[in-house]
Amino acid sequence: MAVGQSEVDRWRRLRVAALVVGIVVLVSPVLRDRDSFPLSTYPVYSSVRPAVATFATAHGERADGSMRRLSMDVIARTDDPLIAASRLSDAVGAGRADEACAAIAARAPDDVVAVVVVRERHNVVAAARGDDSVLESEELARCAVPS
Amino acid sequence: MRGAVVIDRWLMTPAPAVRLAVFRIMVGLFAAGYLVARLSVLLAMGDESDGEWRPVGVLWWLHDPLPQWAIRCAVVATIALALAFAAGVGFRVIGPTFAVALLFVTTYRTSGGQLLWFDNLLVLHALVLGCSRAGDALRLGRPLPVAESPRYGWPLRAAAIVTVTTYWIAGVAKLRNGGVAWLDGESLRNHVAYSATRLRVMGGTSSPLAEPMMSLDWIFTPLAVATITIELGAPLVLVLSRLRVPWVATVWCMHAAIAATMFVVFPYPLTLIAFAPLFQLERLLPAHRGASRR
Repeated sequence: MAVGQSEVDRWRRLRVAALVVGIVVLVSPVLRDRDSFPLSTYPVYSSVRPAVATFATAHGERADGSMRRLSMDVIARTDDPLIAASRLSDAVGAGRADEACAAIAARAPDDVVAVVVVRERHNVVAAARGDDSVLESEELARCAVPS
Repeated sequence: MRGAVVIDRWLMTPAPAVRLAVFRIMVGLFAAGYLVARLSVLLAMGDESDGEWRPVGVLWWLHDPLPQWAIRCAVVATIALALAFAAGVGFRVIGPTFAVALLFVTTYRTSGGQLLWFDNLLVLHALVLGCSRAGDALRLGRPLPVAESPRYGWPLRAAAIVTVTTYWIAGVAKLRNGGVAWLDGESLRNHVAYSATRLRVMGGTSSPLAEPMMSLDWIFTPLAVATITIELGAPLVLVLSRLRVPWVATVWCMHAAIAATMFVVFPYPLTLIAFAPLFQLERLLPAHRGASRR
């Protein structure tokens, strides 16, 4: 009976230890402050976000000089705004605005003759209200759409 | 030792095989549907450029992206595995194989230059289920077993721990990254505004609710406090069963509000499957209504 009880206790300790290890693994990104997948720190929306934000984006220019917005798929081959913003921002940050511009131009719609990669500062609250929100705009690259 | 006894008794609470099997079917069908719904995005993966490829997680070692045909094969195979997983066919092989395949496909998707947080819970639940006996009941061509056993209980407990820990970590992140300032509501309002602006700037369409929300400044402080409270309080639902329904309802409302105002959709919690391990799922089956005690 004593041997049976010790065996039960041993398995119990093992199961509780496995549970503790599992929980430590789950929270390990928090302990290391390092986000990954599928174990994550879940930092989405966790920062203190100011009302002014900077975005890198790209516009299309028509033959008559008017500008038009480009779709996420054209800008970054994705339908996710987070990925699109991240890819273009990374490219601009790495000094590859010209390269990104050429890649976007290759995917641009027919009515666009040139692509402009820009960095824009917006008051995001004004933008969400539908008001004029651009505080600053800087052209980073310009390229012609290949015919 | 007494603490270990209590924890072990909780973890190893017997559950009907059917309860675990219903969760398996939910996860398998959700995964198949989700992958099919995202098929155009998933089939476009592969052959990423240098700027688009940043391997994470279990793919950290994959310095170069895989060819598109290989990714397409993996995506199609994972959909087929998800259906077999839901059906419970050959579960001892299919269970872990599906979990690993889903981990691979979603990790590859997340390696596209930006960490995403939509698939984490689904993958972690699939991994728990994949190494469990979730295929013992409601399996194609097999009768229902009647047995209750700890072997069917612990995977549900583990999956429930994963769910509540995920939300707890999200709450910790807000306090760690935003601090008390996150609670004043201004930051939450700016997040809603930022998402709307980013969508417009990147060529998308923002939610029509974002604009009226901006004139409801007073609402963001209680929303911020409620968000932190339900996230940090998540572990309580493991031990206080009467909190489960109100907690799940509140979290669901939070996700619904995020989807409605920011067009950021977390489908797994919105379908409630993320919270399924907290409940007596066998009651969904007509033959089991009113039969369960735990």
